[in-house]
Amino acid sequence: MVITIDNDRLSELPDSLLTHILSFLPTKLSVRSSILARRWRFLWTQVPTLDFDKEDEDFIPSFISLHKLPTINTFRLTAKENYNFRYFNDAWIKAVIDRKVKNIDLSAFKAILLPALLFTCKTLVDFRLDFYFVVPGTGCNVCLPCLKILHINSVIYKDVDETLVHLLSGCPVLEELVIGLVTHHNLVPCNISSATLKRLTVHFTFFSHVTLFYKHHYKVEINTPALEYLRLVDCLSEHIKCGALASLTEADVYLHNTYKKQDDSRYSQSVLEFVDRLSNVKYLKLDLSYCTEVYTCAFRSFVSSFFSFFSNYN
Amino acid sequence: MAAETGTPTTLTLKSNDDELFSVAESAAILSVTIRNMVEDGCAGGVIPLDNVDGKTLASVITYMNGISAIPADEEKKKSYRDKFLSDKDFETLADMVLAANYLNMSCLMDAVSAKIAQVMEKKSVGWVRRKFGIENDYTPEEEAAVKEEHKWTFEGVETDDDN
Repeated sequence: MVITIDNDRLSELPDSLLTHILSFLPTKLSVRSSILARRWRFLWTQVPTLDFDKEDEDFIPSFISLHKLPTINTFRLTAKENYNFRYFNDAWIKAVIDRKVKNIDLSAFKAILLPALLFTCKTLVDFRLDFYFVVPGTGCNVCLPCLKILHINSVIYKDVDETLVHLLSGCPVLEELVIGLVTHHNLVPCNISSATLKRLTVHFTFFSHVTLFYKHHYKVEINTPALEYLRLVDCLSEHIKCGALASLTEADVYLHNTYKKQDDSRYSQSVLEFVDRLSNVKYLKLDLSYCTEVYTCAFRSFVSSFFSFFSNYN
Repeated sequence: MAAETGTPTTLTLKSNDDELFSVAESAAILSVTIRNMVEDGCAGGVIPLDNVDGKTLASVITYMNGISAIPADEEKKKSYRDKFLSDKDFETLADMVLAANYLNMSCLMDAVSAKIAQVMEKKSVGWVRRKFGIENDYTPEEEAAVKEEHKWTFEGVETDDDN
């Protein structure tokens, strides 16, 4: 048999580099590489990434036990709509955590309570949650001492008022937070407080049917003195409150006053105070075009200070 | 050193086919291999890079200059890397992964590895064997056994062609 080989340089790569390349593939494909040749037969067991993208879920727990590495860099699980998450409990997630996992990226399609053990993972650096996972409430201990990046999109918070604050209080070195609150399931007061946070993205927005559930007085409260980058898309809050942002260099803010606020003037005043906090940024994108009450309020406040100046002057 | 004189220090790199390249030290030290040489004071004359040819080294230097000109913004760096790699064929990527490994440049290594993986993802077993220089040393029986063992990973796999 004639074997045509276009490039034999890659065959010189040590196993560690081949497993590095395989680590960028979904696990299914890295396992498939075992068919290539004898040298590749067990390479997949040395790949420090477990990436299950809508695979048959019964296979996943057994796969973890076949995998040989004492450490895992990344554990990624994208569920199918018919997953029932029978195995998704503390005992099973312990197998991942015991391997000193650094990055966890999970998305479900149904409301599944996250195992509490995830929130005390000492090695976790990057934690991403998407679509309807339920974040345990204040009864769950949160201690994520190495966590630098947290993305939480469309999850459900067990204790509506407290969970977010509780979660952030257990992340002492957090630098990047992306939080999306986009359906009626997961609207919570958006109270973000962190002394170390540098990058913050908040999508406090809605699908149209949310109007049916729009009963509460949501507010955005940001207390992040070390922040350098802020992106805020807010369509729902009645009030924006923000602490000092002395280090902020870039801000991208879009406020959309879709709903009649309970108190327009109070809301507009809070927006003006918030905009004042942005006075030091180098790059600012500010869209208030759907928030016209703010202009009226700003104009009124200008007029009243103008007249009070003259009345004092007289 | 640059900090003392106020002028940027330039290094001269030599490829294994004897091409010489000038590159700013601040960009070149993205390579841990080169940085170690600079720190050990071995970078005074010409730095020979015995495992990298001129064509690949020129490409790596373009990358060094491009990425070091971008301020600390991971998204912008990522989009630079994506654009930089977008027109590279598999042979060039193969040369670059070897060069990035030799030069110990983790950011380039990761970007190129991800790109190779992305290319592999859509290709047949035969294609990967050819491009990686892999000789199939399984007996037909062994190959069938491996395939059976991981049957679930071969669901929906295309025919063994070049596409």
